Amino acid sequence: MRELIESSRHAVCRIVCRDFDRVGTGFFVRDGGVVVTCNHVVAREELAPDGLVALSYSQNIQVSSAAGTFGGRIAHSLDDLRPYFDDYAILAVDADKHPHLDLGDYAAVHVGDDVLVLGYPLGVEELTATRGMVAAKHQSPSHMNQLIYLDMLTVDAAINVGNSGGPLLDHDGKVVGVVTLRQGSIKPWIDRLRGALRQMPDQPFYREILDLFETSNAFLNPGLGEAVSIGYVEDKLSELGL
Amino acid sequence: MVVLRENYIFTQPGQQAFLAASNYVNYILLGDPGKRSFYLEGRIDKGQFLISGRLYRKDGSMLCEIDNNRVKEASGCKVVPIKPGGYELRTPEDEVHLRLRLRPDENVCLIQGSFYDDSGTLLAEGNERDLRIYKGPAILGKLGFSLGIVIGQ
Repeated sequence: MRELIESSRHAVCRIVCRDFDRVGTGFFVRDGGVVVTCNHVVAREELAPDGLVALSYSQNIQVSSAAGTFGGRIAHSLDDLRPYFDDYAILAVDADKHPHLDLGDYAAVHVGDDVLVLGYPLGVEELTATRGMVAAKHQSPSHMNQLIYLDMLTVDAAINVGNSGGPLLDHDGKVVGVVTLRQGSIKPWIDRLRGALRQMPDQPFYREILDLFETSNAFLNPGLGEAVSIGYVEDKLSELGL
Repeated sequence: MVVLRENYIFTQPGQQAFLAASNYVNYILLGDPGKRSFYLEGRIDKGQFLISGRLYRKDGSMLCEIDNNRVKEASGCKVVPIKPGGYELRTPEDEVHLRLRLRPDENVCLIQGSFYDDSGTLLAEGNERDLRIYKGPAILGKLGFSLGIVIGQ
């Protein structure tokens, strides 16, 4: 496991979107500065009362790895909704010859396989590794849009806020999934509190509750994590000629 | 022209169904995927709503192709997502051509829109109440080999 972490860690990066106040994880996948992360790390949804979604992407994406900090920009069309539905984003970064991860074969993954998660959870600036097992392989409604079904892996590795967009690695160190969310977390409550605070920013009580939730979220319920098949990213990379 | 309103075809209140205008159906096929350019098919498979089709604009030009809910080929059509599930397909002029919308509380997937063939002929349209089928073929409801309402050409 130690060798696997050592050989992969330099390809994993921290993603910060200053304009959206978001932090997540990403990973380099090609020589020429191509980074993959979650769509929900770099995009923001604005919801109209009738449920229609207006999507906007961060204009200030920072990608930090052991090699330095780089500016990132969305590499696919901003009107292309497949990355949104499948919850991934492809970034172009001016970092040629950066260490990168190879993509694995989602179809070859089985329940019971060992997996490794690398990322930057809970605001930690040091790369964090957690390991686990594939607990389930399934097709489920996308958390971004329930009409779209995704090939997903449920893993019992610890996944927390900040892991989103990180690689799920198989025993060969190849990426088989993009870590996307945590099952059984109190994130929906946190989101609701954030929403309430946006509308009523001068409510210290809500702020205190939010702080408490955000701190305790990590400890209350380790839960299970979800990763979306790397196959969707692979298809888009081919389509873009990357 | 056939007008369908407030029917339950091969489904019951509370069961998973498509809501085509005010008609609850477990299956819908407008057009013919084998013989015709235009078609729209909605089926339920293992609890999943699956919609496929080939859609045309009023002027007969192709709008887009949908394959199991995914917009496969879009000729300038705009996709606007709807929470918690579904999307609108809009023309470049921002007219809503097709609306697919999940209503998880009711276990239904709403289908609304106006459907044209590749010559620009209006074949079917649906609003909140009426599903109007101007020209077949169309099938509403399917259970094994049994078909519900079948409208010929």
